[in-house]
Amino acid sequence: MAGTPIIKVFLDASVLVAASASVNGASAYILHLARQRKIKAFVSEDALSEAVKNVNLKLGDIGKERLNAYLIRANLKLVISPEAEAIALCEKFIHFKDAPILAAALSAKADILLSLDKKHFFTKSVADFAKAMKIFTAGDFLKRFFR
Amino acid sequence: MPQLISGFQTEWVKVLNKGLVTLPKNFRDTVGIRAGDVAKVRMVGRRLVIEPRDLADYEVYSQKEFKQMLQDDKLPKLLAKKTAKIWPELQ
Repeated sequence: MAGTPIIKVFLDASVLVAASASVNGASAYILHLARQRKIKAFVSEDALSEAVKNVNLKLGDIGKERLNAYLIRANLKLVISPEAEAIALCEKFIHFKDAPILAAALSAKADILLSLDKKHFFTKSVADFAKAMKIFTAGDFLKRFFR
Repeated sequence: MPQLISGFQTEWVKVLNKGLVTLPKNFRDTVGIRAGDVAKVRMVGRRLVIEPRDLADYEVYSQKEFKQMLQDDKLPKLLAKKTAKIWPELQ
């Protein structure tokens, strides 16, 4: 990737949760790429809070430990919360619980949004609204950009 | 002043242009909404509910969704082997 601009990737909460569940999955690999600065990875307050809630509810202490380690070591950039108007606009295209995450990804001007939430993020209306920002699962992103 | 009605406090407020309302100060102080904060407004039937940000109900994945997410996150076997030690401290 030398000479090419580093891809800006926004991570949905599901990616952080999946990486906390398994260190051998695609999401953990994405965080590894962020640690190596091969991608620029962004998260938002809402994505983090959703991840913390799900890790606390579904994974044990090891999950919490992994999430903390990613937050410390993966060079994640925190996106400030988008304006209420931007969130309200996103709610027209995506489930209201995911609107703050979509709005944050757009405000970060991310090239890619990674999510494992296929039900809410992988719809035609979201893709049309997000325009230039493409939405992939972590695995599909790796297949496409890091073979 | 707010009245106590069966445990609920209510107060009349005037709705201004473009739907602007002033939340009563004692309500804001009680639930912790401050100037400049983002609050969530939900429509529940014909009622509007305003929640401070720290009470926002973040999505909890169902067991089925969670299983599917982990399934979708699996790498092909060969690549999974190569990546087995990318986070050795977290194994």
